[in-house]
Amino acid sequence: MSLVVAGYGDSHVGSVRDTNEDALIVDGKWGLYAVLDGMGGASAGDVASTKARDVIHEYVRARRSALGPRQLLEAAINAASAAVHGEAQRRRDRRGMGTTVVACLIDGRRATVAHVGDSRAYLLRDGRMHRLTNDHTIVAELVARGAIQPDEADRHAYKNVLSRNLGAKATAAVDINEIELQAGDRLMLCSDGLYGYAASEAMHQLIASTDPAADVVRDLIDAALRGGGGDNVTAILIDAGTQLVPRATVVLRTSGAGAWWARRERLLAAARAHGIHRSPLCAVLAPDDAIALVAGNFADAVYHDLEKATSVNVWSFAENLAVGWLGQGGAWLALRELLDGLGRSADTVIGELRAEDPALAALIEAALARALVTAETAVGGVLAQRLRTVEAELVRHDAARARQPAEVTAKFIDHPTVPYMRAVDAPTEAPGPDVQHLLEGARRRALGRPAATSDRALFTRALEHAHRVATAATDGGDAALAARELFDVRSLDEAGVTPLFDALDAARAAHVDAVRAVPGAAGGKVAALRRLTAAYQQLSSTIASLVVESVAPTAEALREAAAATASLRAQVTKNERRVADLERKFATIIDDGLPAGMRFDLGLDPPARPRDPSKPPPLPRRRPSKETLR
Amino acid sequence: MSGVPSYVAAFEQLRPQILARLIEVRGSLDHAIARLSADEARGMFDAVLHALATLLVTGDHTLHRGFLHSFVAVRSTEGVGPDHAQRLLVAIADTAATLARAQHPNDPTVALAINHAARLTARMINDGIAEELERRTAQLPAAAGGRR
Repeated sequence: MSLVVAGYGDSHVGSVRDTNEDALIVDGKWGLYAVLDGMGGASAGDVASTKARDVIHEYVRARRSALGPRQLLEAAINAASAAVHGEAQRRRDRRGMGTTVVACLIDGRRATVAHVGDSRAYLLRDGRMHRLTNDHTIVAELVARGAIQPDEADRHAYKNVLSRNLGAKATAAVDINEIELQAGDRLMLCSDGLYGYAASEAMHQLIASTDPAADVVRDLIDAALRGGGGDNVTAILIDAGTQLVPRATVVLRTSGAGAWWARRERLLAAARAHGIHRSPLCAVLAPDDAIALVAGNFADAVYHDLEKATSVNVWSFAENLAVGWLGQGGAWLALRELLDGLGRSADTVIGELRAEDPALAALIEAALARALVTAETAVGGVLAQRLRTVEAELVRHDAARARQPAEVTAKFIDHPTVPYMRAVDAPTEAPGPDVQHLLEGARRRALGRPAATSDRALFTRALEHAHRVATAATDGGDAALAARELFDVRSLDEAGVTPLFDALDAARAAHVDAVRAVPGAAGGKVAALRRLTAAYQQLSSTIASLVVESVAPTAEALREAAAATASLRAQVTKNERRVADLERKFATIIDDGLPAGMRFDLGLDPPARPRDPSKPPPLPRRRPSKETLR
Repeated sequence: MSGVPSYVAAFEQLRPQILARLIEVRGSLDHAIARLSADEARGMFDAVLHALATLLVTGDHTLHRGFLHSFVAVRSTEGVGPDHAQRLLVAIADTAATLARAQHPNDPTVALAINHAARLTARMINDGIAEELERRTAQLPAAAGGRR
């Protein structure tokens, strides 16, 4: 049985650009939906996306009955690529224009999704959002190859550089997915102006809401504009069948939202009773203003989220609070207490409601608990972003310090050190009391001796961490944690890494000597030594992995850049030869229209001589124009 | 099980279903998880569900904090930041809560308990990130002055 499918789409120029180079198709009759994002100088991006849109639409309408959905979409997109490519070849001002496309063709319950470039398709099913497309960008390909980590992709300088588009060639490599739709599914097609500026959490919350498609599309575009709106924004939302809204959600959206709104003043009073206005975040505000601003906005955000069955408003509220407070150097503890105060104020209101309507109170309590989780994750994102910024700053300082040659001692690879990058057979049980006692004695003894390394602090930390790993019942987590802490923030060169391995080596030697020296049974000492060896090996191995993982993206990027440079050099050389050949060819054509006596030296090149490879290739000699001759 | 709240037993009963559901939808939970095989994902999800169950049974914050500390550290060696790890844990709890609501439509306590555990989890990770941020920020003046 087929589903009733309905879609809605909209596009916005954004907050920065003057023209909208996005285009879209929403054709319920033919089950065709598409988003296209044009690119190219002047107005060429607009031309590319519009032309491709028209070709795809026309192609599907003309051949809908002749081809299956998969073949039809692939052929339509290729026809569009040929048309855009041809136009770009014909007109000099449109050279290099192109467009992305993500298109969906719905036939009964089957949805066929095709894409080229970085416009995306998402599927919302059972409350979870699945991405159906992989971006055709250089960065996405590096991630797929494991050359860079997914986390880095979002921050990569070339994250928007496409590896495929429509128009670069007459044919395009199209990726196609087919999915069987279920009642209640939601499909979303969008350009990078949406997901690049609206947070993925907000997108998820909005799409998962039970609002009509038109409202959700409007809210999605608003979210992107609030996020900066640096690009054209286009989104299409397609509902498959009637969305089954749980009864509890319907009750929450109506009675729940109404009950909450009716108790808004009560919440503000509870917030005052819990001292929200005394929070350091409200220091510059009068008490009434503080309550109205913080608790009032929280109450409004919860109300709107209840009404829409989403969490996006609480998420935005918490994120704005965190960005504002942490951005001016505010402490986490104050923000933490404020969030707790708001949670307690909401509990007060729910407690009062429970006496009147226990069932409704339980529903609101569950929704609020979820909203507060959302608030924590929104704050977590801001905190983590600040941490990344500070770590980057530390690494920059460390790298600057490491560039001072006097501080570089020797290459760590020349030193005898513990074997690393090997699988470790670590004991999984905690040591017995006798071994624990031996290890504790060895730790104290080793710490009391002079370190065979210049960095005493690092030596002590290495020894303490190794002791912690050796005395724990390990599943690898302790070692990973200890290695991460030891690795700390450091530049990835000899000056940054050498002292760490030196300290580990010195600590291991001191630790082992100390075990031998402390009094105890031979059996216990053997067990203690085994644990210590495993601990140091785990630490070294994990740290070495961290080094390798950190360096790998850079090394891979360098290799890629070297290969690309070589290829470009070859291309330039080839083009230069072609230009020289063409100049020579056209220079031999004598213009018969010139009056007698005005024929000029044709400037034919002298016989070719071998070129000095160390010098740049000579510029081709150009034929003087007619205007010059006059 | 006397003295243990009923939602704990209900959560334990649901665990196999939650695990199966998590493996099924792992592609939508986090980009790092999407790359894992079913067996690898099963091991990780099982450890998280075990930690959630322990938290529900014992209410021991120290134990849970220790698990989260290790979890975030191990994820960091896989190139996953603490905020992504936090979202992953919340997504796991969300999946569990959704299933609990579907299985126990007349008993909201199971889903509510899972939501509270998720909030505590998210809060503890925020505490960890903030602690790390404070430590790193304190290192900045020395680093800027050229001392390690």
